Amino acid sequence: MTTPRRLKEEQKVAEAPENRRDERVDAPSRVAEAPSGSAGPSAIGMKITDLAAFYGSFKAVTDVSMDIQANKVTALIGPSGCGKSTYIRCLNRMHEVLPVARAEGRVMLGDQDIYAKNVDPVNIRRRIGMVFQKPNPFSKSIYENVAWGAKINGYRGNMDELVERSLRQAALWDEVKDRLKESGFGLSGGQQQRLCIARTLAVEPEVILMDEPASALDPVSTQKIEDTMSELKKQYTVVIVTHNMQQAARISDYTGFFYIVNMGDPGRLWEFDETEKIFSNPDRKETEDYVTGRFG
Amino acid sequence: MSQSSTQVDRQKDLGPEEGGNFKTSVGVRHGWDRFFAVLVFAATLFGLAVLGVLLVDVGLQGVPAISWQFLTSMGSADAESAGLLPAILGSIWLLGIVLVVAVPLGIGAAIYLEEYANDTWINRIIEINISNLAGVPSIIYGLLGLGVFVYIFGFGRSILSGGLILSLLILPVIIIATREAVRAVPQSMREGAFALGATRWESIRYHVLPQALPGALTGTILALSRAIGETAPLIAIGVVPYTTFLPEDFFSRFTAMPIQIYNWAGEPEEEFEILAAAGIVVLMLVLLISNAGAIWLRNKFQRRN
Amino acid sequence: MPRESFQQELDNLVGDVLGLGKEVGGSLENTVRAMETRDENLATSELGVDVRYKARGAELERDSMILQARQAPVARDLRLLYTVQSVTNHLVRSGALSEHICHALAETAGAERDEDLEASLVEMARTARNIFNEGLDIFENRDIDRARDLQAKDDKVDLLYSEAMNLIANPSDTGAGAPEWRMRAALMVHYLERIADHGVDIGGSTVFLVTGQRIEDAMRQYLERDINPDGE
Repeated sequence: MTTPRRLKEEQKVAEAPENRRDERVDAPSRVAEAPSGSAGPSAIGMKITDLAAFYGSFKAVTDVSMDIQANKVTALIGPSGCGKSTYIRCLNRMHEVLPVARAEGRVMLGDQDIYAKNVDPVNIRRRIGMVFQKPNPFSKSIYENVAWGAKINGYRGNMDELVERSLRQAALWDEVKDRLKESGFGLSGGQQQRLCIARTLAVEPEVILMDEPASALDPVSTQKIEDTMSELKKQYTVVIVTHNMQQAARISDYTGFFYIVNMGDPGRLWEFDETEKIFSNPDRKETEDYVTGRFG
Repeated sequence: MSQSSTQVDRQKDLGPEEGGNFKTSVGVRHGWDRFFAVLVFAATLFGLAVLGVLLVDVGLQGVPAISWQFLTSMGSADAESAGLLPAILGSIWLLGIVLVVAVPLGIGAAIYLEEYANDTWINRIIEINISNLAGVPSIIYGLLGLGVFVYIFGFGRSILSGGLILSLLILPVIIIATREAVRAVPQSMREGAFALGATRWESIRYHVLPQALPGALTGTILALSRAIGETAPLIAIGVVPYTTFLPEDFFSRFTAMPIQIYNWAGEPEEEFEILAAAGIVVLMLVLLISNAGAIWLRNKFQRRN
Repeated sequence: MPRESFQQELDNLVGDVLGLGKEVGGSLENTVRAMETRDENLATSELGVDVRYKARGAELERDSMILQARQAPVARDLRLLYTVQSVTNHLVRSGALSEHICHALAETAGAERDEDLEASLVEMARTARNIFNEGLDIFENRDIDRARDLQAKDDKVDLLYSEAMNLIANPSDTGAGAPEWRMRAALMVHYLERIADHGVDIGGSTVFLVTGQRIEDAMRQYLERDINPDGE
């Protein structure tokens, strides 16, 4: 387990001059980078204004505005098909990887609009990492899985240390430290997911997005991942989409409820508040119906 | 809540033949099961049997005629001294040209079409046409090559022309096989790469291509095997029945194993028939070795993944 | 409707609470009548009834806890379970207090009474019973507007309480009554005031159930609201 003292030591190592990250040579613009190699608390929150997301001409999400607080966990809940996954993928410009998909609106990462004209999405995706619903480790060794992202982003520090640090932060180090050369596929589902978390951490993002990270996992793995998230928020900002309401209630500080009024409508943010309010006394009836399971 | 709509009535139709709502005897169904198992087994057996008979027949005739002299002599009108060497080397040269031209082009085109191109009507038309091209008779490619490579480009009836024609012939097959292999790579793997801030080329180079390579290689192997055995296009550009020399450079005249075999098989003398059989055996051996080598290569990539 | 069986269990639980409430209300009714008519037998019949109420209360608590463990309730379901436990507690305490009053009545059956004080006690008893029934009714119908008025009625009880305490300190001219009766009269004043309190609190719990706000906060907001929003 990473103790606070160890975190401070790692911070010192990470901020040493030889660990400063190489700038991406082919990026069309220099988006103001967060202090390279910093493992300290991220002061970066996100502010979304009037975000809409499209698949071709179909509007999947409309009019979403929210403030994502730095170093907090924000959960997004709501019935199936109301755009939560589409929305979260807009936050790191993964949505537009699909050829016909696009998004409109403003998404501020700190004081940068990530949808501004001259911003390179490739750069954004390093700063805003993503963990997916089904664990998708690379078909490489455990070590390579964690190191690869850092390598292509030009990491020039000590790779062994980076891999170990990332695996520790993902609460996986003790289980794999003796088999780093083995394939990532040899791990259990829960371990694979933590491996995916570790590789995301290795590129030192500021925000971590998670799209139902534990929905394919057993309860014990789920609990480990939830514990990891509670640790992660000390250094990163976390946004998580989840179908599991108890999970949202357990681990998040803020909760956003997405809702569709009629079939075929775009999804919208129906209520957004501190988690304890959403789960004890929400303002809107649809929110209360959903969290009490009276939906549908 | 009404009982009838969701209750299961287990009392219905009780009788000695039937247990409730379902038939209890499954004997007839098992019978069909066995029947079809036998049927598909017989189909396989038939194919293997015919192939086996052909190989045995050819082998019995041809194997005795294989000698060092046979393998290292030039062609000749005399059955006694005729050898396979120019044909073997010719086939190897052709294979070389095809490898260098068709494989990179095919894999590259497939990657572009699958990874970079948008799903527009142009792309779809291209896809349909590539499938069509794969089915075009090889003689057509021969005639095309005759007009384009032999005359317009002026390469003459050279090994370069032959190689280029064969490349064109198997290019669609390689493209299709590689596209399938690339498509089989789950999108989640690419997304994992993108989410770490990788460019598309980086995701292709480090993840998609290594994973697609085994499948692509399988298709390529099949295509190359076909190329070694193609006779019609080479005939179309006028490859000679036998040569008394070895190919020296890309613009040499040449012969290849299928042509040589075809020509020997056409001679009336029985000695040539035996030579043809011997040639077939050698061709089969070469195919076997190259296939085995390629499969070994594919397995090596798969194990590394 | 989804979670129909859970909803059914919640409804049953509330039904059980209301059932207990009716029983306790019945005991209160008997107590009031026993005071009004000086009926010793009626008072005696109520003795020991608090044991039954405590047992019922424990059952309801357990049912509520099991529901919470099994069904992971949130928002209004969670507030309902909390309210159920709170109301059950008020009902059980009220039942016990009512029994204590009957106990006192039975013990002092033939004793001399101070007539003014007795009249005051009877009025207090009637008021407490009414407030209790009102609170229970508010809970049954979730009528939170009346809950605000109930808070106001609590003031009336305080007034009666002061009057009664005054009369206890200063015996009337018609006769102070037997000392043992006088002592118990002081206790009964206290018990009746408590019963009224429980009734008011049941109403207040209902406000929390419906709005998620404690009634004190709701009252304060109500009192501090801008009466003339247009600035007249």
